[in-house]
Amino acid sequence: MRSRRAIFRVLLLPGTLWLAVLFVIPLGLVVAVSLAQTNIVGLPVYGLHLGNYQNVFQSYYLPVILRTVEYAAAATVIIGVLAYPTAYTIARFGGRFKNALIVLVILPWFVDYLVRIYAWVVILGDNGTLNGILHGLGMHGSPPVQFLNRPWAVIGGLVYTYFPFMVLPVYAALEQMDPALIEAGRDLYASGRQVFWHITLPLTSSGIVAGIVLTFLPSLGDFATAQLLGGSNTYMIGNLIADQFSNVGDITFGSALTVVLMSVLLVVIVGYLRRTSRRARAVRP
Amino acid sequence: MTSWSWSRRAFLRDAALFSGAGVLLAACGGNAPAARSAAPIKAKVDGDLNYFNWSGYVPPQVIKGFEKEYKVTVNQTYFASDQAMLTKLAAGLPYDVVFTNSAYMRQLIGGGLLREIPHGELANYGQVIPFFGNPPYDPGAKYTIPYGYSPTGIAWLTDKVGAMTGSWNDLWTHKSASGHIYVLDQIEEALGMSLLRLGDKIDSGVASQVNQAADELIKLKPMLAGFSTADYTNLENGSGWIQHAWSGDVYIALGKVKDPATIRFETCKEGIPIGVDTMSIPVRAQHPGTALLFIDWLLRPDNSAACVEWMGQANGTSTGNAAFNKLVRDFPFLQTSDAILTDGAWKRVPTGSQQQLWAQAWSKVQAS
Amino acid sequence: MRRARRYDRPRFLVVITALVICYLFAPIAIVVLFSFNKENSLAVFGGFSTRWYVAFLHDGGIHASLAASLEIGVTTMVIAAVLGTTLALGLERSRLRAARVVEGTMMLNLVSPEIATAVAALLIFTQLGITLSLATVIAANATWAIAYVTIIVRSRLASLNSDVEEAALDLYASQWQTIRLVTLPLLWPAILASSLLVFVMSFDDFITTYFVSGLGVPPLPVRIYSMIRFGVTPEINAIGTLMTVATVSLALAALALFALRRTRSGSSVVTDLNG
Repeated sequence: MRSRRAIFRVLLLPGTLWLAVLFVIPLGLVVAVSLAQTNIVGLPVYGLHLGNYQNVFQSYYLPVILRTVEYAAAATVIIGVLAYPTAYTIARFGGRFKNALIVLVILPWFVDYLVRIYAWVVILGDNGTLNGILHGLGMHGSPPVQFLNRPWAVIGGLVYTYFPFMVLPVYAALEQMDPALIEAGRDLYASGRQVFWHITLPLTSSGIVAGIVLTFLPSLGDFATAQLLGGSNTYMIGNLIADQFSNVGDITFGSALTVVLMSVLLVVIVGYLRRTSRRARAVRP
Repeated sequence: MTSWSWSRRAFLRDAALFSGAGVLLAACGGNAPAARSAAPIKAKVDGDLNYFNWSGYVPPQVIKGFEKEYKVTVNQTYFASDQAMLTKLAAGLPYDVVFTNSAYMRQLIGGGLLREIPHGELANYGQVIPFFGNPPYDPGAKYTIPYGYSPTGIAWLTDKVGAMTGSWNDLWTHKSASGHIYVLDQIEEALGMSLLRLGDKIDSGVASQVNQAADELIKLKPMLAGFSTADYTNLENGSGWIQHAWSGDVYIALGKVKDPATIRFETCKEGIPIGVDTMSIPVRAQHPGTALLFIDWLLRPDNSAACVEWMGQANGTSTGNAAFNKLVRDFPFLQTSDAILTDGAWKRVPTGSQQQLWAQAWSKVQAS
Repeated sequence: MRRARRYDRPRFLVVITALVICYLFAPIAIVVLFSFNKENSLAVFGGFSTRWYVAFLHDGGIHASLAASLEIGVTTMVIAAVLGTTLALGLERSRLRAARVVEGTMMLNLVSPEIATAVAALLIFTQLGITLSLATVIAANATWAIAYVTIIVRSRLASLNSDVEEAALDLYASQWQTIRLVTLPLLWPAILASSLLVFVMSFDDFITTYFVSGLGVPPLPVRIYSMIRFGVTPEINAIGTLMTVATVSLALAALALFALRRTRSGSSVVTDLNG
């Protein structure tokens, strides 16, 4: 038995090495830089300075963190509410157009990210498409409605960007579900609603959870959406980190912020993995 | 998804081990500034040109002309902020010619990132006006040749707001333009402007002054549409009624709107922020000879005038500044004299502990 | 499912789906429309013209950026497909305790905000004195891409019955033969699906690419982003439109291909995109 596994241990190596060199060691370096000071050109001078962490926990950064979580959560909920029915409709009623429909849904994602964001700027701008439509509907003379630079513009942008990451896993989960289970539920006189809540939803929960992880966490670290669609009060933690590197040149503080963000994530992911492994154990008697 | 029991302790132990490796690596990695090359550069082709600038800042036909004249390729790469430019230079990228900014000279020159430019090798150096032979940011002009400068002020849409007073207060006082006011998204512009308004030096390193300037910006925030460097786009698409702007970009906006009479620009009495985009050769440059030829190419009178007409800014050469005066003939509010160079408030990004002070103040403004 | 009952198809589902599709395509419509703008403006449509397509045709810089992005996409895809698949095999079949640590690390990688990994990559390259270039962009992109391939291939692998592999080994096939002749053919759809995903994501990637690009042609997203100050022109919309057309053609070709294969393997590419 032992020899039969040997090749898999070898196969484990290249990927592990790659991740160690280009993911784990760099993260260690971020920790080191977060404890450093910068020299005149902004490069780190290593040491053990905790000042950067003191700065992270200043009260005025709290709203940024809360706002980031708020936007990411709002975007995730909206994505879920929109993506589930979409995936469900395609999976159940798509017939032979299923694949074509799912490609249609993820198609916009194939257009360059920044090109899409600029298109939203055009739609939401003061002289933009949406205001043009409102104007055409007879709201003459009224000042343009301001859509851009508002929280909802940023949340809408996040929804737009991360939508495929929910649709795909949910759709895959729905596809793998045995439709006979629904029929069985119906035959036992369950209402359509009951079947959905008691059979379909629980059976596709793994897809939903995967979708939540894949939409919520990247939203937490996004910065271009808030930068291009947001305004003065939509600053997210991603913007704060990006600005340390591209605007104010304090990479040690940027690194400290990154470390704190990653620590929070580490706790979340360990919790998630423990939960799934507990469940996996519970399923097997 | 996973069917094994999760051993957190084991994971954390190994993760800590890996991170330790990172710290170790950091301790070994040297970042001594590169030794300054002593040998003076000769103006001759020594390879293709690695060019680093804002996107679209030099007219394409001028670059094409250079490629044709010297039979070299110009490999263009771009930055989207001056700080990003500094970060990439500090990372040791061997660009040959970089469009630096006077506000960052303490970092660039002090940090030993730039190479001396021998004026004698530039056939068109005589074009440079005397002021730039000894500018305040680079004594003796050893490391920089001017490319473009325009003062910072306030632009506004005349059909949306009136009664501007020639003071930075104009950004704070127009309640009716609330939600349509933009401040430039650059630390030295925004904090510098707020400091000037309070009667302080534009590059003040005094904590109480910097914090007060930041607090003033925080007070302004509820009225702001945002912080943005896309000043002419905001004017053009009508979203910015009042815009903290560079006069050069206002000129570009004027050329894009249907009715130029709707856009006006003012400089402010508390102080006129001034900075120069300059051409430099990094110490790490591998083709400094070609870089020197390129700089000289941009100084050549015909190219110099073409650049000025393209970007709407004066450039510190006799031909270029003459072209600029002709260009803004119809827009008195964009006309400048050389006096802004001597009397203007020179933007400077601080270093050391003052840099930390500024960085935290700016982050606080953004976060609040 | 032949007798799909009416109450199984609530109208609101169809309405939501239709609205979602409208929402998803609204910006695409704008991109296409403004690519034909006569004016040099992303704000005002001034009439029909193909000038931005002509501009695109003659813009050598944009072609080079497009080529650079394609190179990033293809190379990242190949690296991630190879390393991700081997990693998935190792994680699923090696039964080593250490594999859990690797898996945890990979999961953390998968969910790390891109800004964090981008910052980390920038620091490591800078500190090691490695010149930022297309190579560093590819290395950094491949790092997050491996996680996507591993997750997708592994979930497919977990659903395969390992009895077939055991049987092959019992019949004196070597381990390598077993993987090559038994396991890999079954994994192909998952490998292909995840590779496509990774190709698109790295081709399009902005955050990582922005941080670790340096010398050489700027990849497309970096070029577009740096246009912010001195002129985003409708040319980017012409590029966007052409990219859409290219993708639709590719997607149609892929669909046709999978429609053919599906009848044989009983699996579809989308089902294999299971996160």
